[in-house]
Amino acid sequence: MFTKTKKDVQSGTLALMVLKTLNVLGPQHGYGIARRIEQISGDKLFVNQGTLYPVLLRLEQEGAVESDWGTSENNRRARFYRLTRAGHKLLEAEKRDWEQTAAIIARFFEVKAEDLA
Amino acid sequence: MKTLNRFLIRLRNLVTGQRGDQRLREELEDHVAREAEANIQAGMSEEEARRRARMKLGATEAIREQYHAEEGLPLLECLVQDTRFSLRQMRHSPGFTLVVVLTMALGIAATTTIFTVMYSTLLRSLPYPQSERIVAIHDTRITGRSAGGLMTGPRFYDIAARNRSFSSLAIFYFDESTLIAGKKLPVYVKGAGANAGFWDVFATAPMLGRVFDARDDAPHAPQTVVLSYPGWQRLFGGDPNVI
Repeated sequence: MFTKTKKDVQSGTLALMVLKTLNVLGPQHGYGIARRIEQISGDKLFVNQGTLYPVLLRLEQEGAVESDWGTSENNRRARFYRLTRAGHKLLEAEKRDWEQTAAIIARFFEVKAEDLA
Repeated sequence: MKTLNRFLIRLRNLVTGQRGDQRLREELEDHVAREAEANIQAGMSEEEARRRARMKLGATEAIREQYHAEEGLPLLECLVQDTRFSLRQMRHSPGFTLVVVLTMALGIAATTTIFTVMYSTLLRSLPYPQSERIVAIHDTRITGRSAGGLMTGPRFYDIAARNRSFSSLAIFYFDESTLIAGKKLPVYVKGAGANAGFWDVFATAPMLGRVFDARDDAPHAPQTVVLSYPGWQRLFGGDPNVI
């Protein structure tokens, strides 16, 4: 709304961020994940934070994450998400894909007219 | 595998009507509470902190819908709802429903009947071995009109004498006669006269005894008869000693 400079994240990208966050931080609740994504992206991404939950559900149904109720640091009930073995594999695969795509796009941007002549 | 698993989970959710509504609500509430706390620590008033937190979360209804779509199978769910709706509408206007149902019933009945007739007369092959090689020969009158499937005996023997195209030839004619079996009362039977080639054309063998052969085709041969299975059952009670 008033954050035109920030971008909404596509759900595929968001899923990858979620996987990586869980990989780095270990089990986290939804808020923790959202917070961390925000921090790492330097507030440049406006995660319409609620959209995180459908993505988490999807990852859970795909078997990439598991979730369970637990108690957080200040003794409050929260649902914790944890990366599964399949999730680790998925993360690796997605990472490779992403790096490949990024490399290709980068090459296109580096090309100058004289290079093609 | 992954897709299948996911599909199964969603199907189960749909069938059992299991909903994560409660879980989602709790998670979202928790989310807002934590964000608000953080905002308060950053120095906002409590009200402002909650307002900002909710804004950052986004439209709850949209999220819930998205969540729902992930959870079940929206397509199937819609189908079920549509079916329910139409059934309800039908109950509201029974007259209209009756007309529609009748129209469809008649339409389907007519189509099936016509198909059945077409199938048995035109499409289905005869229940005999190599039935595609069986053909019917029709005679024509001198004027060129069809003789309606009729053919005279001499004509048949002419064809049989000059035949080079067919492996065997059969002639038959329908007959209605009276059967007097032993000392029983005379009964009316439907029969057909046929030559020995008849059983060659259709490549069938009798259950008991024999069918016509060259002896029966000879002039003034003793009268012989081949019973159909239903005739055998009905007239002689399926007695194997009738021969």
